[in-house]
Amino acid sequence: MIFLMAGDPGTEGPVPAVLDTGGIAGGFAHVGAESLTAGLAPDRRTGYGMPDTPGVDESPEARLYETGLRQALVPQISEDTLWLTLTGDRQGNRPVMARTSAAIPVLADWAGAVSGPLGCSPALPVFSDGTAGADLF
Amino acid sequence: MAAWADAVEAAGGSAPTLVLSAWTVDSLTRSEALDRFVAAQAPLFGLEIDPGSIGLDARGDVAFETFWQSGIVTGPDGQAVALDAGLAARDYGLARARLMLETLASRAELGRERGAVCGIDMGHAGHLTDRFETFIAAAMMRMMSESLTGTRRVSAPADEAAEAETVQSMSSRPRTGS
Repeated sequence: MIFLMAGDPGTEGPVPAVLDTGGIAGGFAHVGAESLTAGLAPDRRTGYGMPDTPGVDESPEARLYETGLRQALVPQISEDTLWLTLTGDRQGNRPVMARTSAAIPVLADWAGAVSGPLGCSPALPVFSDGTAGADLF
Repeated sequence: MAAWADAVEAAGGSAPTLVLSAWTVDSLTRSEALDRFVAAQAPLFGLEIDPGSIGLDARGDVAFETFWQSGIVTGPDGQAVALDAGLAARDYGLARARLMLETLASRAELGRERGAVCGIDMGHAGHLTDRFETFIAAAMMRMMSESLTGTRRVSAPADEAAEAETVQSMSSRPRTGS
């Protein structure tokens, strides 16, 4: 399991994150991922009693009230490489690799969509930033 | 950490552990921003501003509200100066989640044994959650608690309205003399 977030704050546009296989013995049988993006801020003016100031861009303040939207997805797999695309600095991502099918029930309640059997057993990936400015935690 | 442990053990003690105590990512307060706004006027524009003339609740002063959002102050001749201030200069939204993740991860690399994130701060109650919403940094904490071994949520106020109201009211209770 890995937490990924794209580049420095302010990074624009899609950021491809490439997970290269690292040759760790055993490989993995399933992959999954869940993204975290910002949802629409609730109506802070009525909810929090906050007056509007005409003529002032209040978008920085709206970020205080961003909610988290989680979405399950299955990373794209090309041969031995996992590809994820992050939408600039506005998305986090948590890819999950399972060594065996026995792990699927364990992951089911939090890992989002986990793929069916891959039909191959790529080695467990080691993060490589490739063309991406993504950070690995 | 290694050098510290060596030194302590050489002196006959036992190796220390690194504990990241309860912390949070702080929030800019309106009064803090007002102090900065007033202080910036004299050196930049030679102006004195009475802070009492700016209504923090009414939000009617466009110059201050612009500074509050963007950190930009504008002089009497229309010259705009961007300061590293205001809400735009702070980590909010997903940036706040990222900073929490980064802080915990970097301390883990140093050998942190325990750590905690506090869901409220003194300036703004409920910046992870409140009685209305679960904010994005809280969603990141939730994901971490699901999948990082040894990490857990102590409470989830947004899931329980009554508890959230308690958190909210504790934070907003007027202070009394001690």
